[in-house]
Amino acid sequence: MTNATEGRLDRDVVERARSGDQEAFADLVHQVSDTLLGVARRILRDPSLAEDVLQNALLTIWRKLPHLRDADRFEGWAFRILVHACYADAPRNRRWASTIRVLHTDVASDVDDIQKVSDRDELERAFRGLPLDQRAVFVLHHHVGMPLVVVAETLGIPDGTARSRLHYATRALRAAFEQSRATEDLREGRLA
Amino acid sequence: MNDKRGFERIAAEWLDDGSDVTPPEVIGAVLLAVRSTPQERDFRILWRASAMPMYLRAAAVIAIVAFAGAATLYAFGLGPNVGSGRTPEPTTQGTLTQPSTASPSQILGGPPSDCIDLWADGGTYRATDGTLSVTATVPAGWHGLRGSFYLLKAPCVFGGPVLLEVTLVSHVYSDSCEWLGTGVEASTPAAVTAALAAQQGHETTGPIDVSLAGYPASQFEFSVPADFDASTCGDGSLPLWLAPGGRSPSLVGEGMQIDPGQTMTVYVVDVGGLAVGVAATRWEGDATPAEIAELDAVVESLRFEP
Repeated sequence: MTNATEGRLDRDVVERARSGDQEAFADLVHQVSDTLLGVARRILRDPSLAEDVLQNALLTIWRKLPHLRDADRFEGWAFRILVHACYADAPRNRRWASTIRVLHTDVASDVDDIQKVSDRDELERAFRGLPLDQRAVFVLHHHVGMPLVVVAETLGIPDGTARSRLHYATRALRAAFEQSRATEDLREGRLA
Repeated sequence: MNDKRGFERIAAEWLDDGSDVTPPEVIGAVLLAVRSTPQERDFRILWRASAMPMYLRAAAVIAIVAFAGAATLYAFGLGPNVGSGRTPEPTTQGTLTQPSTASPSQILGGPPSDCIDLWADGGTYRATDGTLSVTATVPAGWHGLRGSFYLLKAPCVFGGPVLLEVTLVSHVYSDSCEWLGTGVEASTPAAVTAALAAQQGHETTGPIDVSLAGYPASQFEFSVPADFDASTCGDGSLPLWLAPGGRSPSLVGEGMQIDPGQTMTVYVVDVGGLAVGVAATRWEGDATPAEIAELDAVVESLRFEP
């Protein structure tokens, strides 16, 4: 898990980038790009798309930086722009649900490995079926490590909405996990 | 489990899996673009109406209204592709006829070009579909899309707890889950009502006879439980109908679908013989009574001009 409170950004670098210093912005990009890419990749589940979204988000951050009033809030502000970019660039349909199929790249060698691949496959499939706004809350909370109130503030949504999105996402993933386990139990029972 | 601990552990491993190192060419492309991209300065303040001098506010209102008026005229027949004979597919054009101050998405990320921002002040939202014009009065806190009648209570690009969509109807699926290949032509209001009444794949109440915007209508309520697994359905979705010329019912403006966890009040409105489908949708457990009341008010404000 990435910790949002680790590695505080240098306020001076943010201030200089905000005033138009391109070298300072380059420093800033090097400091935040991996974290932002990680969030985009996990929300979108598509590495190439995540890189495109990261580029768009970083360019937006550069353009909008003079509007950021408090340099100490840069990180949350950047997350918010990134999540917006994820929403904007993802293939649009009603709830942004994706039906991309999961490819198996691991070769399982024993029962535990098979179970692990099956679990991850089901989690991946379930997560891709979630709307992007639920995915964003889940990733910011569980991967970045933001408390839910901070997630809500970052995304500009009520606390209750953040809670319900996390609830729906977690419930869907847990159901997928339990389904995976039930299927595997059934398979083992039949083989026995 | 241990299943609880197992779920948490495996989900955490799955979520954190993979490399997050940004390829140098990605950073390089951004820094190259930055060289020729100016930063925005002192723009947002001007667009906050409350901070603008009165004369500037008035000028901005006039300019925006003029622009919206021009766009409306364009949509109503002054554009190059309108009124020049038969149009193979219906076209829609959403417009905003009230100025709006900046929303969070405008300030921070910039809304996508197809988003009409009604965040700050609300406004009158209009879309045309072929010869039909549909208008709604929308309170603050919503956004609409250009290119289709689609209103959502949220800033641009966000999902929201309540939404309203309107399309014409040409085909209705006999089963919204096992829907592939079951689309039946139903373009008259009576045929659409009958087909939706018989539609399988969701919980249904109705139809009841009502009036909407002064036109006769049939009202249904459809719902799908939140724990329903849509992946067992054709294409993983639960479509209700397809619009004329629509390629896929899951595309906004080209059809209608319901998702698990949604309750949808559907009206089939007879607008001079046209079958107009209105879907007022709420996410159960997510939409508050106040938000549902707001949605109902937007539905009440609908006006159709054939």
